[in-house]
Amino acid sequence: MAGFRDNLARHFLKEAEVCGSSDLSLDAPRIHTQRHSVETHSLQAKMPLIKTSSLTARSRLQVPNSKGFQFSAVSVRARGERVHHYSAKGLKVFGSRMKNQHTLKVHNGLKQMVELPQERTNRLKWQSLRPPKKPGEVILAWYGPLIEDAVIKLALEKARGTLLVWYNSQSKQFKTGGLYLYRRLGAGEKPEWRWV
Amino acid sequence: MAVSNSLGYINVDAVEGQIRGASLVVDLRGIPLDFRYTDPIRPSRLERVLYGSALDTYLREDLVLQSLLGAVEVKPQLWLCNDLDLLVPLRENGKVKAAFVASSSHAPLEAVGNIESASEPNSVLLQADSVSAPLRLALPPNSRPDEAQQTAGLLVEAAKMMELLEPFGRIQKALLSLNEE
Repeated sequence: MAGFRDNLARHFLKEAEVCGSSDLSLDAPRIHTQRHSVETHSLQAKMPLIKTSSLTARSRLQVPNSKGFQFSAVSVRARGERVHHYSAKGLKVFGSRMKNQHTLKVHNGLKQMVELPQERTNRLKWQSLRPPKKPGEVILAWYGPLIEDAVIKLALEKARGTLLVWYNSQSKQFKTGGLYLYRRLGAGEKPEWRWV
Repeated sequence: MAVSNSLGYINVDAVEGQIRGASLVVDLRGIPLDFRYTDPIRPSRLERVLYGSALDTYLREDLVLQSLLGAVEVKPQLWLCNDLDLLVPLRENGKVKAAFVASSSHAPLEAVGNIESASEPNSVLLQADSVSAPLRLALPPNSRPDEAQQTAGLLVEAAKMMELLEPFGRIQKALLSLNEE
């Protein structure tokens, strides 16, 4: 032990004197008894909760009956204390249908829809039928199927290359056809539409 | 009572946090017979936090879809949707057959009416006409084999007079113009 003390003294260049007892025996620790008291309160809260049977099914919540959630009794062991029986049966969560929270109005928009045109894309690349064409003519597009006798108005939407078709909604015609768009090569020549 | 020779199109969209739905029933020429649309719904932030992804499913499938189906007066022979998630609820609540349809980039099949299995699960390719790529078609699980044939037959019949997917675009245009009003 003296050697150890000398070593420390050299280490601190005698600036600090190391004191101590050569008796290394330690006092016996004091033991206190910790007694905790646990307060328990019964839970009587009723919490409204929005749910539906479909919602609970999707979120995998278990609802044993339509009246609400029912928690099972749980025993809680507190060390040093007697075992208390903790029951959360007082806590019930009652459900109400979420549908009641959202009212959804459905409108009839048939009048507006009837006024909208149908749209036909250019399907020339798929069309195997090639109608006769005169020398100097090229076929630019094919639009179909179309009910020729039901058409009220046609318009070419140049930006998208689609054909807008307004039908007579009262028409009883069902005979289908297609519309080719031709162009004659040469200055000043206008495109030409032909039903096939 | 379903009107024969008619198709119903269902669209439920979520745009900028708002969910809105519309249904369009057309005859086989594409001429409208019935068009319904819902007010947009915007769930509150609290509802989004509370219910997470289940809320979206509930709003789309239970609230919007069922409200539309309940309001439609001209029941179609077949409901079509372009969202696979809507297919099963559409079949369950629509009271008539339902199918999912979408475009494909597959090469044309040999003949009109031909059906081949598609690379996507539970889907087939249907060559509905001779002037487009085959359609991707899906039926609800556990559909009877004859339902697939009947559905394909009706789509082939309609494709002689109309572009089968065009009404989906028309619904979008209608909702846009209604928004502007």
